[in-house]
Amino acid sequence: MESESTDRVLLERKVRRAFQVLVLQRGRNPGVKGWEMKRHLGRDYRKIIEVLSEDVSSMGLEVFEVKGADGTDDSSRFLLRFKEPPTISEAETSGIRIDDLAVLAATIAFVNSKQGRVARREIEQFLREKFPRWRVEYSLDRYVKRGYLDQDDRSMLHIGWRTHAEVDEKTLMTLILSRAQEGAKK
Amino acid sequence: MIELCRDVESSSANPFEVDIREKILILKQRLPELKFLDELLVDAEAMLELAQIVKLQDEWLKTRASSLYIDPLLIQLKVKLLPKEALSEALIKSWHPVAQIDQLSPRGLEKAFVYWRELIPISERFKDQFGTYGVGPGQVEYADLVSLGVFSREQFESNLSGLHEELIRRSNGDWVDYREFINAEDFETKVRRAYLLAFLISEGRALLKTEPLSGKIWTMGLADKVKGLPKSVAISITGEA
Repeated sequence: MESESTDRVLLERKVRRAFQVLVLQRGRNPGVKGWEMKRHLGRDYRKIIEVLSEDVSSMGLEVFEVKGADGTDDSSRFLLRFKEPPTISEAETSGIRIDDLAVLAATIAFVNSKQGRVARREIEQFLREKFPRWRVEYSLDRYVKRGYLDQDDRSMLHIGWRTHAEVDEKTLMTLILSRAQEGAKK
Repeated sequence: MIELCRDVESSSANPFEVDIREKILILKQRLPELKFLDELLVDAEAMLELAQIVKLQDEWLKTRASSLYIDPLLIQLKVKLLPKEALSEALIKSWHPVAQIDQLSPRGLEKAFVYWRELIPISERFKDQFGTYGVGPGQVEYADLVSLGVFSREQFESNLSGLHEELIRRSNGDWVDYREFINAEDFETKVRRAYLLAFLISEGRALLKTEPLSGKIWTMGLADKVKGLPKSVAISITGEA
């Protein structure tokens, strides 16, 4: 009985620790790598993350895992994120420009349709048909810097880790396709 | 072979356009003939590039097999049809922002202090790349361009005649779109053509007409020089086609 209570206290302490580790920014990019979680919480960190994810669910949050390039547990990145997307008005009050979001939406859709890699000049050319030149260059640079897009040394653009973390790409593609049909009908 | 692989790597071309089997057979056949270290290094480089293509083929197949694959032409069309507001709304509806607290740590504060302390004054910062602040934008005379080596006098005359002939041929007594006419693959050539055409117009060997409402500019080549009251027209040239 006493041992059960001790385990419970220990678990609660570890869950609290996991929350603190996830919510405080360390370094430039948000999230915590698998190896860091292991260091802070021990080998069973995945179980603790599961408990935390249930606990924060009532606050509209969840712990989300983004797989690393090599697919190992250590390279995975864990983040605390909104469980449901924000409403349009919530997003607007956060100060994000409609044009910037539209550039990102169009870029993600285009890159995904091109098997996940597009030459930067090709995407710039595509976007310039809809957005001013300065906006295209500025937004692409910013999204590369913030991890939404990834640009390699051959100037090829890929989807960045932050898009995988924050954007439900399948939903985005479906919405773009269905909205365009609505637009065409109108 | 290396160039082909690099072209595919630096574009969104289908990596399956490279026939790996055929290329490896070629390398295999050539290998016994290679004697020098340089040749062997190039051979190894070709193998490395082929390996990169195989990696791209793997990624290409994975994406194609995923539910995210949609015909690029269809996506381009759909994105063009959608207003910006609808595109941003689609993103918001599929967006799960990261929840995080940004805080100033002692380490961050120290980094900021060191950065500020070592920051060079703005007047000194870009001297290496751009030199000192000197002459602003202005006019360059033909004589200056000759002295700078941009043109030689003979080259200039022959280029001018060449462009004049091209304009006469293309306009054939009719107006042609000015921007289409000066357009070239690279920006430098485009500016050069615009500069030469300005000379032809000033000399009366070509005409220029502007339509202020539509913003269109037309030009026409003339076989004989005309004289009239000259007017100045400012035309901006950008890097865009």
